[in-house]
Amino acid sequence: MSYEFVLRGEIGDRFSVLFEGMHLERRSGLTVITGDVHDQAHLHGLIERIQELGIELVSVNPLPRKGSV
Amino acid sequence: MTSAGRPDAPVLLVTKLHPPSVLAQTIARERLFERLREGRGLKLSLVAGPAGFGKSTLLAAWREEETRERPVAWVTLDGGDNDAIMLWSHVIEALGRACPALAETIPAELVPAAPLLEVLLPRLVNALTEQGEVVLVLDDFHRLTSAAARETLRWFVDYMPSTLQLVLATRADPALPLGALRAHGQLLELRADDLRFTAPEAHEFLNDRLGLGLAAGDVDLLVTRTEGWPAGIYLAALSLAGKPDKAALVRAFDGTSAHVVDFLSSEVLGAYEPELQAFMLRTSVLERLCVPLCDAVLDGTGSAAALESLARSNLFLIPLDDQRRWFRFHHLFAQLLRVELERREPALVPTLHRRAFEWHDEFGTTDEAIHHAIAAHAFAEAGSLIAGTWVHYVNAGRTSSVLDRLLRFPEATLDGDARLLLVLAWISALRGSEADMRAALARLDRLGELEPGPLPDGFASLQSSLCVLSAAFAWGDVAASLEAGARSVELEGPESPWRPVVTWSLGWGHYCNGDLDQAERWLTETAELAPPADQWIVGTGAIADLSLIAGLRGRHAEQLRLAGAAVDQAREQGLLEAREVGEVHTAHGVALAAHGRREEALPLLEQGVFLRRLWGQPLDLADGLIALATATAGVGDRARAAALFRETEELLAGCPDAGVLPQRLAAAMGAPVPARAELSEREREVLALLSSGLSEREIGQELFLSFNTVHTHVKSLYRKLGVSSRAEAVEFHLGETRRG
Repeated sequence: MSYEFVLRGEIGDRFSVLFEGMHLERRSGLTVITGDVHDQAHLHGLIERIQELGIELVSVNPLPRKGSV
Repeated sequence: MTSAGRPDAPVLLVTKLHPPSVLAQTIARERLFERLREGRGLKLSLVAGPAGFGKSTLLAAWREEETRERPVAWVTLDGGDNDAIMLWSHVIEALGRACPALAETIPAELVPAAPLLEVLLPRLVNALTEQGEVVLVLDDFHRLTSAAARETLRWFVDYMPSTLQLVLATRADPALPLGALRAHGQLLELRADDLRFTAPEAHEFLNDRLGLGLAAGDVDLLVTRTEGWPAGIYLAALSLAGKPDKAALVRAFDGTSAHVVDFLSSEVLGAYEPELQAFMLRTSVLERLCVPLCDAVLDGTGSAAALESLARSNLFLIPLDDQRRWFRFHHLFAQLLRVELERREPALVPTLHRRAFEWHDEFGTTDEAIHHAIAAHAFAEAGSLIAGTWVHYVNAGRTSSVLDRLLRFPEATLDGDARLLLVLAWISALRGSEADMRAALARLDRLGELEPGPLPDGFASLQSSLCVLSAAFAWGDVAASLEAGARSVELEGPESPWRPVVTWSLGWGHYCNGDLDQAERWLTETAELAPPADQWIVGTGAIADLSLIAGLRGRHAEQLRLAGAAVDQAREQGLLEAREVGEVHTAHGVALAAHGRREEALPLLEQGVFLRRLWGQPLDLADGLIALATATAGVGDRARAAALFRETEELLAGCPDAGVLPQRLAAAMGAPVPARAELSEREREVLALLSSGLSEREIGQELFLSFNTVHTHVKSLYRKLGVSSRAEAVEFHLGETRRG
């Protein structure tokens, strides 16, 4: 399942190691991270890591499956 | 039953009971101190905010002031506290340190043995009610994630006296009824917006304490840019230290759209010499730091100077004790360092964890050794540590710690390691879960042939551990337990540390089977062998069981003496309220009742049943229920007695082989003794071979069983058929065959 995490503030590529294999994109004061999330444990782990860094989480959204109708 | 008694109290990390030191640079935030005092007399004080909002620093500084008024106990929670036993061991130890009177009424050593919600926490609430005003701070409360541990805290909040001010510092709101508390004016809340630095606070911190000499306008810019986030302001301060043109950096910071953390993390590291940068990055894998450990992890010798220099200059390095031997990095800072380490030297990370594992292993801090071994993916080493130490965890009441560790292993690794699957099976059995135990054994079964050779926990072999497990945990099948016990006697020699567990299993099995001579012989041996082997659980249980037997044989003076001895030993070993030896209370109650002291007996019999329910062994519980029901009927409470008898009947009906317990139940109910129990499949096989004229030894060869095992089956089937010789048994068998 693909997810999109929206974080407040623009975060550099240095933090991409925390979000292995995910895509980081910065736009107008926000960072959008997209990528595959394997399961609930993975999802919570990612959120916890964002929290640990004191970064504000704006939203978490599941993305529609590619090719789904 | 477990290998040893309970000399192994949980290992308390003293540093967790130590609030972060209040450094000279810390500002006294009087406006927040005032708010915290408003929490006096309320149910809950909550300090909630994301990482880096200065929650711990605020509370540590407040604590220093507040201890002049009333005692303040402090616990910094971590993952280990998800084991409720650890959580309350730490809380009680911390309260005892803050209030010496409490340490006497409720010693921390009591925690592992006593059931928490039912015994220990009510007692703690009573002790606190006697105590005057006191504050309890639980820092990093968000790290408490297990539902079981949270449940114990929720109970505590409900019942604790209003003289206790409970302060929770957390990143996430706790699962407590906050809405209701708020509506009733019982909640004090300090949240992120309250915790932000105001411009005057930032000025005091940056200029008065850190001496950065920033212009008022630059301080305002920093506060605006970081939105008063204390960690952000402090990261800026670290970046600014030593910079000749501070105003330029502040303006550059203000001019970029980069996140505070992103912009400052490169600046912060850049403010240090390369050696110090490397030191911080590489030691960031550690949960706590000391000089020898850092030297080991860095494979060098310069850690003393580096730590000293950082301790002086960096508020993110927090001392954990007064001697300044142990430190930790602030969580947020540690996380920044780990990110940078992953970026710069990713291949080094497992090596660093491995060195940390080796140091902790040598130093004897097994908990952390196991943590780093797992982080280094050194599962073989982690597995060996667990296989060697699980018994100590069990004796300290920490079965869930072992379980959590094992669940972090890759499934495939567990499935390839018979030792660990056996530990998993033992832990599941000790936690009263037959299904989990069977699941672990099924996985073990798929491994095929078990390797021979002794195990680090003292068992003679894997096969033997498996066998003793089946003997000690009958799950309602006496015949199976006795068969496993007979094999265990051969597998674990007389010198084995597990021998008393084997002899107890046999004694208990024969007791359930009605063979009191055999039972007495094995239990007497257990009571003698157990103390030198530190096997207090089976040792104490055996004395209680011997008292029950003396009662069945009408030797009432001996019965009472043995019951007293069992109670004394349980008390000395901290086992009086342990679920593993509920029979102590049953035996004591039965002995008193036999001497006409029914009123005294009843509460003891209730306690016995209560503990034996927790232990989860059907035959053990049935034994306690029969005694309680009998005494209840004796004082004329017919309805309750009938309900207890009914429960026992249902319990025994679900047992594959309940021995003579159905007969004991019937006798207690005054009902006609029911027909003898059904023969087990194995017993039918043995009977058929007996009828064909084979000797017991020949039958053993035929069925691949030892002589002892066959003999046990023969005695058991005689008993069930109500016969006393082979001829009678064969006669019965032939009669049955003829009947078809």
